[in-house]
Order: sequence, then C-alpha cells, then structure tokens
Amino acid sequence: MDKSIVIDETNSKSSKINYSTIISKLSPYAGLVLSIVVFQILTGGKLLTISNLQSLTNQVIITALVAIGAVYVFGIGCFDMSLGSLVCLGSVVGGMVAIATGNIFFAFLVCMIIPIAAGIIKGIFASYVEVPFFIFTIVLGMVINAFVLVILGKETTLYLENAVTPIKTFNFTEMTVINVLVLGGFYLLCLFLFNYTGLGIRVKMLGGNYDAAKQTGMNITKIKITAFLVSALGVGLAAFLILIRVRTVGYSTAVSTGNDVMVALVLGGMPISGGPRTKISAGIIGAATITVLNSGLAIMGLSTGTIQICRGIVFLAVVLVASFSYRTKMLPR
Amino acid sequence: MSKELIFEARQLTKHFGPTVALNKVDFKVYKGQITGLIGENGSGKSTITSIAAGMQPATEGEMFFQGQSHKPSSMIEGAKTGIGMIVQEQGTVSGLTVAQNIFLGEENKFRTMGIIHASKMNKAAKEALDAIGFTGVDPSRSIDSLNMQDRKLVEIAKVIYNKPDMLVVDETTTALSQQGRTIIYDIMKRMREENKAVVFISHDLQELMDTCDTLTVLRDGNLITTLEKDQMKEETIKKHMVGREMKGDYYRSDYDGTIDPQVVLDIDNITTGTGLLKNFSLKVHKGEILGIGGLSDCGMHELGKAIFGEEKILRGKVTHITSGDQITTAREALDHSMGYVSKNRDKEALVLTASIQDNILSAGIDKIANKLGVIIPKNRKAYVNKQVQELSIKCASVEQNVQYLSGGNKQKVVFGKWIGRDCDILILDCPTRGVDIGVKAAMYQLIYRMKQQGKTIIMISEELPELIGMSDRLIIIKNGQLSGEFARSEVLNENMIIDVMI
Amino acid sequence: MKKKLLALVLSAVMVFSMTACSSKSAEESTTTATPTEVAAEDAAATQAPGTSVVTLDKSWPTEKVLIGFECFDTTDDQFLAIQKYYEYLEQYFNFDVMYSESIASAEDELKFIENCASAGAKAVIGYYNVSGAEAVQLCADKGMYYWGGADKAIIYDKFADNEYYLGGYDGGNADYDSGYAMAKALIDQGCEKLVYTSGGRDFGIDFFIDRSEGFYAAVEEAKASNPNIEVIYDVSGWPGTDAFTADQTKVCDMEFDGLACSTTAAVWFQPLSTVGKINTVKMATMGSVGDLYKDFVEGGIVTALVYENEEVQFGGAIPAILNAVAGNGDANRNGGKAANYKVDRWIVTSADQYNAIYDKHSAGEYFVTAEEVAKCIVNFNPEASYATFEEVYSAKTLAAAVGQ
Repeated sequence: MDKSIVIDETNSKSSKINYSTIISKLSPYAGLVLSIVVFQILTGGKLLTISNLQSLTNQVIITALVAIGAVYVFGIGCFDMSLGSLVCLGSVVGGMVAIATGNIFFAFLVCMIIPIAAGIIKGIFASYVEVPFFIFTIVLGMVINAFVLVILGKETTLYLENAVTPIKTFNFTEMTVINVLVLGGFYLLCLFLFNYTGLGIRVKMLGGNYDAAKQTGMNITKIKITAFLVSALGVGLAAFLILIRVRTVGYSTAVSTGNDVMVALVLGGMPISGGPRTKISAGIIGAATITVLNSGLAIMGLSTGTIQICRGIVFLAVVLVASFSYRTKMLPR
Repeated sequence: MSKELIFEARQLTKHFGPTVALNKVDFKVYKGQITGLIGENGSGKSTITSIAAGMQPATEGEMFFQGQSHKPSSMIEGAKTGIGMIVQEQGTVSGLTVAQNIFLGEENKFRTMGIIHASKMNKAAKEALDAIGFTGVDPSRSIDSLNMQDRKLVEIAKVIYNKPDMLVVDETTTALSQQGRTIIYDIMKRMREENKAVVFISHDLQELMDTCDTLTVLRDGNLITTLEKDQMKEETIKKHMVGREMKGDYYRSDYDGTIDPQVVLDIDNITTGTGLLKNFSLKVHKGEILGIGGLSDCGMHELGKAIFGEEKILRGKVTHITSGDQITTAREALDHSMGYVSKNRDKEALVLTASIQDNILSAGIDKIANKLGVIIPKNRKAYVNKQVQELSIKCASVEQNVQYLSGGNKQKVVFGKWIGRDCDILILDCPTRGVDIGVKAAMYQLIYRMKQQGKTIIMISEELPELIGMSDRLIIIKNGQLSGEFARSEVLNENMIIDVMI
Repeated sequence: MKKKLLALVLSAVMVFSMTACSSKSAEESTTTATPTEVAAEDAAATQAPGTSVVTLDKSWPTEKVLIGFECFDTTDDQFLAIQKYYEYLEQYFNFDVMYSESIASAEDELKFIENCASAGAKAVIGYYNVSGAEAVQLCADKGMYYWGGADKAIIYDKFADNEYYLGGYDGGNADYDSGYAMAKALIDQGCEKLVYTSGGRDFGIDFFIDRSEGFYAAVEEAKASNPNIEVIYDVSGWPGTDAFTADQTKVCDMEFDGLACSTTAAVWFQPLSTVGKINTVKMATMGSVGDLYKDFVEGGIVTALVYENEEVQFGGAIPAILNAVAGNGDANRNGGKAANYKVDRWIVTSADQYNAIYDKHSAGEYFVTAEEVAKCIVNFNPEASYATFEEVYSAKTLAAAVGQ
C-alpha cells in the first residue's frame, strides 16, 4: 500500500448509520410476524393448527413460486403483467396433455416448456423493441387469455378425472410435502443464483441504471433473457402444481395470480421498479404475508366488505413503513 | 469604509446522527463583497449554505439575515427572504421548455382566467436570460435540446430573476464551460457593485483567489480562518485546508515524456454518430499518459466514448492493435482489458442507489467468478476490500449506498471498479471533477503509478493544469479535428495551449 | 424523525381499528327481526307429535354449527335473498353461515373449503361449484359435509354412497326448461319478433348453454304454427362490457316486441325507456322477486320472471346439514343414497303472483317456514325422512305456495 495515496484520513464525515434503511429492510419480516400473531389471536388459535398450516402451504405456493421468479423480472426494471395468464396457459395445455396421454411426466414437461418459450420471447422483445415493456405484457396477457378460450373450445373446464389412464391423486400430506420441497428448492435456487453468481449483481445494476450497466460491459440481452427464464421456471412449476393438486383447470385458472404476485412483492419489500434494492426474500415473505392475511380474514368469517377494507388497511400500513427509506435526505457535500 | 453585515451565523452546529458536520461556526457575510468558502469534502461548507437557504434545519445555533432572525423551514421560504442558491446538481426539469423551467412554480404570474400565456412567459424568460448575458437561446425551446452547461445557465437565470440579496454559488463553476464561468463572474461582480453579497464555494483555488475579496477556510466542521485578499497564497490556503504541510508533488515529479513506439490503439478516420468528430485519427501508444483537451463541446468526450465502444461510429474504426480486433461495444472493450470512467459520474459511471460493493463488483464479475460462474463470498469480500483499502474509500461499510458518499469518495468507487479489473488501457473523462484537493492528489499519484506499471492512460479533461501536469503527450481537439499536439516539457504553459483551443 | 413517528402511529391506529372492526362484525351475524309473530307459531310447533324437548328458539343444536357457503358473485340478487332467508332461520336454529368472497377459479374454491375446515365448519353448501368432484372430495377428506350438485352427474354419480355427501335438490333440466319457459311465455303473450341475451353461452358456461338451447327450441316449435316468429338478434356476453353496450344500442334501433334475458333484464330498462320502447316490448327474465322488478312487473313490462325461490331450492340445505351433524344423516338419504329430490322453478307471469311473494318476504315471512324446516329435522320430528323433504320442498310449486 502506497503511503502517498493516503492523505485524507481525517475525512470521516461520510459515515452514517441509516436507521431508516434498517427499518425499511426489516419491515416486510415485521409485517409477516405481526400478521401471524394478530391473526392467530383473532381467529382464536385456528390459524396455526397443523391442518391449517398444511392448507396454508397449498394456498401460498402458487403466488410464492411466481413471485420469487418475478423478482428477477421486476429487478431488471421490466413490469410483467402477463404472469397470471401464463400460469393459466401452462396449466390448461398441461392439463390437455395429461388427459390425452394419462402421463404426468409429459404434463410436467409441457407445463415447463410453454412458459420458457414465452420467457424467451419476452426477453427478446425487452431487448430489441422500443415499445414500453409493460404494455407488451398487457397485450400478451390478453392474447394468451383469448388463446386459452380458443383451445378450450366448448369445455370451460378440464377435469383430470377424465384422463385416459388415471392420474395419481395426491393426498393432503403428500401434497404438503411436495409443496414444501418444490418451494424450498426453487427459493434456494433463486437465492443462490442471485447472491452467489454474477446474475444478481447484473440484475440489480441493470434495474438501477441502464447506462451505467451498459458501461460495465455486461451482455444486456443475455441478462434480460436469463431473468425471464428464471421467472418462467416459477410460472411453470406453479402451473404444474395447480394441475396436480386442484385437478381442475380452465379459463379461470390463476385469474387472481397476476395481482396477487404484485401485492406480494410490495408486501415483501421489493421495489416495483427494480434496481439495487431487489431481494429474493421479497417473493416468499410477501406471498406468505398475503396468504396469512387472506386465510386469517376468511377463517374469521367476516363479510366480504369487511375483508376488503381490512386488506386495504394492512396494505397501506406496510407500504407506509416500507417507504421510509425513500424519504431520507442526502448529506450535502 | 465600514462593511455592512448581511448574513451572520452564530455558533451554528449541525449533526447528522453521530457525524458532526458543523461545530459551533461563526460565519459572517458582508454586503458588497464576494466571500469565498473553501474546504475539503466534508468540511461543512455546503452544509452552512444549505442551512441558510432552508434546505435543512440546524441542530443548534442561530442565523440572522438583514438583521432579522433567520430560520427558514423550506427552500421556498429561504428564497423569499432573499437568498438565492445555485448548486452543482442538475436543477432543471426535463420535458419542459426553457421558459417553463425558469418560471417553474410561478406560472400564476402569466395566468389570466386560467390560461397561461406562453408568449408572455417566453418574453419574460428572454429578459431573464439576457440579464445574465446568456443570449442566443430561444426560450420556447425544450430544455432537453440544451446541453448540461446551458441548462445550468438557465437555472442561474431563474435564480437571478428573483433578485436575491445574497447569492450562493455552490461548486457550480467546475461543470461550466468558459462562457458559463464568465457569466457567473460577471453576475458576481455586478452584485458586488450593487452592494449585495455573494458566497462563492469552489474547489478551484485559482478561481477563488482571482474573484474573492475574502476567503474563509473550513476543516472538519470548524471555521479555521478567514483570509483577506492580500493574504491569499496557494500554499497558505492548502495548509489551512488540510491541516498540515502537503508534502510531495501534486502532479508528477518527472518531466520524462518518452513514448514507447508500440501502438496499442488505432483510431482510424472515425466519424461519430453525433457528428462531433469528423474523420478523426489518432494512435495511442503503450504505457503513455495521453492527455486530451479542448473546449467542452469539441468532441473529446465523444472520442472517449467512441474508443470504448459506447458511441456509434458511422465511418472508420477503432482497432485494438495487440489483438487485431475491432472495438465496437463496451463488452468487446472490456474483453480487451479496457476501462472507461465516464464524465457523467452519477448517471453513467455509478448506480447511485446500489451499494459500494455492488458498484465495484459490477465490472469485475468475470474476474472473481470461478469456472462454474459461482462467486464465493470470500473472493468477493477480498476483491472489494482491496479497492476500498488501497483507495481509502471513506464509508461506514461496503454495503452503504453510493449516493450518500461525498463526490471524492464516489469517484474513488468508480476508480475502484476499473482498477480492480487491472485494465491495461484506461480511459478517464474528467476524473477529478468535483473532487477536493486531497483526493485529487491521491488520484494523480495513482495514475502515475499505473503508468509505471505499464498501463496506458487516456485522460480527457477540461482542466488545463492537470493535463499539463500529468500528460506525456497532450493533444487538443477543436471542432472535431485535431488542432495541436504538445510533448511533455517544463516550459509548457496554458497560454500556448489556449491559442490552439479556441 | 417526527414525520416517521407520525406515520408509525398512524399505521398502528389503522391496524387496531381493523381489529375493532372485526369484533363488531362478529356480532353482526345475528340480525334483528321481530320474533313477536313467531311466538304463536312457536307454540304450535311444540305441540306437534313427538318427544320434542327441543324448541324453535335457537337453543338447538346446543353447539353452534358453522356452515360454509360458496358463492360466485357476492352482489348477486339471488345470493342476497338466500342470505336473508338463512338469517331468518338463524333466529330459530343455532347455526351460523360463513360466506365466501366471489370465487372465480378452482383454486379459490379449494382454498375456501380449506379455510372453512380450519374455521371449524361442519359443512359446505356448494351454491357454486367449479372444480366438480374435487371440492366434494376435499370436504369429505376434511370431515365436512357437502350439500349441492345433485343434478351434476360428475358429482352425484361419484359420491352418491359417500356419507359426507348430502346431495341436494335436483333441478333436472332446470336451465333448459327456464329458457324454454321464457320463450314460451313471450310467445303466448303474442310476441313475434324476439331478442335474446345469451350471457355466457359463447364462453362455454354450461347453464347459459342450456338456457339458450331451451329458448331456441321453444322458438322452433312455435315457428311451426306461426312462421312470423323469429329471433331477430342475439346479444352475447356480460352487461357492463363495451361489446354488450354496443350491441344494446344496436338493438334499441330495431323493431321487436319480445326480449328474453338469460342474465338480467334490469340493464335494459333505461336504454329502452330512452328510445321510447319500454311500453311496447315485453320482457322475460331470470331473476329474483325483489325491488328490482316490482314496478316493471306491475306495469306489465316484465311479463315473465323465472324465479328460483331461495327457500325451496337452497333452504333444504339447513335441515339436511343439521341432521347430519346430529348424527341423523340417514333421514336425508334417498334409499341409502344422497338426496336428490326434485324442485321446480317458479315462473311468475302476473303482478298478483309477484306481489304475493314480494309482500310475504317484506313482512319477514317465508313460504317454507321454520316449522316446516323443523319437520325435516329428526330432533324435532322423529318421523322425519326423505319423504318429508319431498313433501316440504318438491311439493312447493308456485301454485302451492301462492295459493296459501
């Protein structure tokens, strides 16, 4: 270390413990814990029974899988409104294949391949076309919905019951185990890719500042397509799980998933415009929070109106606390 | 001739959490004077003026303006009392016209019956612009059609239009062209003649010594001394700023300008997409520090970008001689061990909302990832900490957001990003802009050290002293063409260069 | 820092007010209704033959029974009418209903059933069912009873022998018949140029398809005797969408005298008034007897209303569930299999009929009274059996009811 470079040792003014950032980092976790505690009390303990916990894994998994994958896409600054429709498409086509062949493995392949193909298309579009991306995804979502209607034809709903050879029904415990394994596995995979490979840093930079990211020499097209592929994995897994658990797919499958994912991400502390504050935990924390919230409210047996008011209030409260870090002023130099 | 006090701060103190930015400072500004404020980054000079302007409240202490107690709760209040402030950062709003920017927030002056009269606004805007000497601009133009400096001049017109009694110029001149600086100096002189006050904050010692009547030096939040015009000597000021003798040379100590005959980059007859460079050719030699200077829109910044593959080249090509490959994208440049420090630090060189760690890593992922693409935390920490230590980046932790750092530290992060890669060819565009003396010196020595290690440095700058002080070879560009070339020598001075520049 | 503290306090206040909100609404579930008139009939019930220690004063079952109710649209007229009826019954029997939100997809349905199970519900009423057999299977797995879907082969055939499946009413070809009835009513009233709104038929929704088939079948039959009869326009889709509004505008320009709606006629009142056709067009519609159609029925504008009476069609769930929970599920069963007693829709064609129903409901009274419901429950009437259900529900046609 060359001594001549070290001149301004006295200059320690730029250090500062940013309390607001700490609050905003912890608030999603606090929100989740608070929700669990509050609803455990309000439902008289019914929230955390073994059987309801098993149900909760069923209820959380679709949103969680899609949300965790979506972190990558929102992270690079792309607003994707086609996720729900894509899950529906994957489930429906997978369902058709399952009924026609009776083979669960083929169904799985189809459930995965369709979102992956869509992901590549989205990645190419995001890299080369100048149209604002979220408009593209809105249109894509509509097109996919229409397509699903067309291929369903006269039958609005497909029942796995009607498969050529019977497809195994998974009982409650089996399903819970599958849920936990798939969710855990996917989460760990995404976490690993984000934090232990260059992908995470590149996603954050790209979402934070396009020009700066370009000047670091990263291959922007490759990163975008990779992000969409990871998201597609989540979508495919979600589509497959719906298929084997609910055993009923149709036009209305995953109709609320698109919205749920967005709410989950916000509740989980993910900045919707992406950038360096992106974190994978947002997907799973947010999905868990929504699920606890919805389940708790339903078990309490409130009327629809009251449930919606409560949801709105909780949402506002969490967003308020999470927005703290955006309000700090910068030290003047 | 007794001087009248216009602004006084008594025992002014400001804490940011545990950090003490101002420590019981007694600061006086007199009418009919240009008062200079200088200090290193973090010395507190910007803090005083921002408190006076109403940007933030003081922790302790009082202020008096025009004899009245002064405690503005917002910038608008501060402006109303008669303090106008021009800052370093961009203050114009994209998407609006020049006139709309000048009267942002005051559109009601031109509103009758709910409709805003654009022609009236434009006329008033033209008057405002003419008043500061910025002619030749049509106020109905979109602000985006102006370059950064001109946009800054629009801001200045806005501030002057409100006829402030005390004008604060906070580190603005460093980003301005000669025309812009002249405009500001004229404004300051005029305010002095009108018996108003000016507080001038800058890093440029020479500029301060030339224009100010008194110079106040701050260090670590304390007011060290106030010098009168006749006491202003460069060595004295530096000593007060830093607190000890500055040992060693500021720039390089040698005058050896020998150039290795081996060429590493060949820029062959390029014409850029912006049209600023036309049929421009240049050969860059191994291990040289090549200085590139000129007026701000001569095309030298585009040249830097073009060499790095970030600027569209319509005709001609940039060739990396050692490998024989053409450079057309940033990715290719990186693969050929090139690096680029952009002039536009906040917008292009850094992701402000990201951490120091992520910024430093962002250009060096291929250097720390193993064969499978996996980054082991140990390697990551080592890579980042090496840069933080070697460059003495002052921060609470590497997870801290870059936007909270001072200008000098930010620039160090940018350097760290590229040095970590151990680039063979480094293109620097205005590397010491907005950076205080201590950090500047460190950077010059770093650049020289890199040269000694055999690396090639291309240094584009608008500051002639540093170009003269550092370059082996200095070329001047005028209107997109090569206009002069100078070898390193003791007798080289600014006048010789300015002849060729203008 | 002050601003942040304020924001924290604000969010805390919001969360606490939400908790307060919830405890208030828990008390809301029991509605106010005057039990004065009931007391007299009360006495009558206890005099009925049988050991009846239990009385109709909400004391039985001793432990409150929670029932889940799955619905498709919480703003729908019929749903609101059913809610009111259950509230009426809740004055006499000790049960509570937890209603779902508007369920759209199969996953939401299963989610709701799981939530019911966690909340301690003993049964689920499948007013809406999208996942077919899966919903019933899930209920059974969770140890809850499922009521409904007796006219859906995929459910009934699979679960007829399952003790958790209670069955329900069998509407037969109710939807086909409804469409048929609407067409027939209009044609009998002299209409020749008809417009039909087909709702979700083109989206593949079963009951809309059936209604449409019934409607067009009736039209075909009528054509044989009167070739002037034709359907001049078919409006597809949902009211409120741009496409529907566009079609509506087009229709208003046409010449026709009969309008049949498989969704609701209410959305036509204003447009037809505006073009001055409100008195020249006769309307037939599916719907409930309530405020919505009263004036138009009395004015002779809505001349046929296909009405699924909530007490007859959905009221039977309560006694069936209460029997099952009390261990007397056999009483519900039809020869050992799940119940599937027939019920008819009421086709209201006159203002008198309409008002008879409307007035009775407004007074808080119903055509299937609490006593009749109690007749089906073993704990009140030891003789209760499947036949009793048929007696109380299947026999309650419009004529039988309004004749009261």
